[in-house]
Amino acid sequence: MKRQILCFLWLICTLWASCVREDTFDNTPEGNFEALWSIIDEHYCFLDYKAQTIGLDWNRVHTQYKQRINPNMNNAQLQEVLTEMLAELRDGHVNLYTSADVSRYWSWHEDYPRNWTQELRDKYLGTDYKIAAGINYRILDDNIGYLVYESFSNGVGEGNLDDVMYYLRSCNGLIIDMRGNTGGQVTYAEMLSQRLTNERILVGYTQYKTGRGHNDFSAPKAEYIEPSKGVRWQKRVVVLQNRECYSACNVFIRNARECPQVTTLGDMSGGGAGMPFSSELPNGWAVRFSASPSLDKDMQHIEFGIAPDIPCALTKTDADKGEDTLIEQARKILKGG
Amino acid sequence: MSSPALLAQETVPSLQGRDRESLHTTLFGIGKVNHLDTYLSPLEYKGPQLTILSETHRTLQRNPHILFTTLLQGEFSYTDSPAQNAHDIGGGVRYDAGWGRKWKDILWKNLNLTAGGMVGGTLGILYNNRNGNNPAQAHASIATSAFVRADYCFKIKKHTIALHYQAHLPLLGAAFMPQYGQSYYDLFDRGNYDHNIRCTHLGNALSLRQLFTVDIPVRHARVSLGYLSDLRQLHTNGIKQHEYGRSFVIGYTREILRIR
Repeated sequence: MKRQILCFLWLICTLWASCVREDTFDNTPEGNFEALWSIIDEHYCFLDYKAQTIGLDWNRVHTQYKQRINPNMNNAQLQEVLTEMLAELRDGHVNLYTSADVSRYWSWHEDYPRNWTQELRDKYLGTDYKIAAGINYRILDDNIGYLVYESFSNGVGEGNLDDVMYYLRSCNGLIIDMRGNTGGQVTYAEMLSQRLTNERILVGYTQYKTGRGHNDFSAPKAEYIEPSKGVRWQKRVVVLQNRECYSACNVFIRNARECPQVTTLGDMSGGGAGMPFSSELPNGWAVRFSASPSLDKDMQHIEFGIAPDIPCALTKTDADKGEDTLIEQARKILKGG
Repeated sequence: MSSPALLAQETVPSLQGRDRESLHTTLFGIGKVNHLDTYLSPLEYKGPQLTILSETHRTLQRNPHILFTTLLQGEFSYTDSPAQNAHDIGGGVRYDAGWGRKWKDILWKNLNLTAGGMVGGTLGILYNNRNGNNPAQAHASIATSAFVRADYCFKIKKHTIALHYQAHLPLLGAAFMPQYGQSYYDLFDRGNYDHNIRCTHLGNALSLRQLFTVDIPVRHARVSLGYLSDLRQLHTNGIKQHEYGRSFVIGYTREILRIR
């Protein structure tokens, strides 16, 4: 018995030789740089894809930016270097949050024409448009429904969508204007796209990382949209898109383009196909990054956007006339022109 | 067939080791905890933890050498990141029950030892107030464990002081864990199960709970003072977790003697 007791005590005393801990970095400019580089290296989901498409070499990035780190730099200087390093990813879902600023990469829409103006939108909506939660809508003069969903951060319920679809039921077609919608909740994007189909449709695939390696991914899992049990749209639809259509809006466009009777019109969408996760640095700065990629139904990446069925841009001539080129083009399509 | 048991609370602290005794201990703890969950953050969060613990040790009537033990533990913690600008809020419950073989007067007089096995489970959550799509981690596990308990008592003047030590070592079980980069949205909204229930063993979930208490008679009650060290670890699906809790505990112990 004594021997058993001694064995147990020995076991307890030696157990903690194998503590579960994570590698730590010092709270210094170099430590925070290494921590950020490692977080992206181990968790970011597009390193391999972007190595193939834009020549991103994350090891080269480490070498290049580490030279700019020195122990005496202040927070603003450190953030500037880290922001530039993260910009190499060309990802709007990547941010570095400090108490003074939010580092961001917005070139995915800032480098392109918006193809819409609030003034023109207001003109089409008028003053007596209806508001159902996050959706603004009305019937245009030629009996075309016009629906604007400005942000999927604004919620909508199934009851709202029933009311919107029912109100627009007599219209000859529907314009869904997504320009300027930079995303939000994927749930709302799926709810709206479920109104556009009578059948279960394969719209894409999702993956997530299963380990620290750049290529450690789960098998792609199919994503379907199920037809809504509420009021569904049965006529033609034109979805207006621009470079600002990002993240959840990008998912909506991916889903909508697989629905029958839907035509997409405008510019490339902005992309943003990685569900973002959060982490942090030893100095307390928070970092957001893409962790889980969405693919289209052909298993192709949509991180850099989705091309429209019909390219179309807002012309200055039309804008000066008070007309929105995309809306007018959509009206022609819906009228069979 | 024995008659229905009657329960009577003793008014005088007894020497432990009676054949028909039942010890009920309730303890309240306050201490510190160190959390790591790499699904939420690569950094260790530290802060205060409150614990409530209720345990029962009952000698079986048909075999006085066998002790039936139950343990119910609840805890709540509020921890800070190293920079103290983010917080984890954690809470959970744990329940274990099992049997042990009791040896009396082992090594020296009035030292009793119990060793046995337990089965139990935990449920809990750790919420990070700053994260977006990975804001929380659920804890759910079941495990079989080995435990030992040592009881020793001695007298100072007319007062009986009892010392208790127990250690609890999970051996084999199963625990819930998302995959390395899997979101809860993917797991529950989309229903994409992917090896989210993992086997736990000494190699990936080396954990140890130790409790040392001293029972001191105060008038007709027995006040328990002690130290709880609850060290839990898990490393699976590429995610590392630890929870190192250390608390001072205070409470009371009731010794109930069954009278046939």
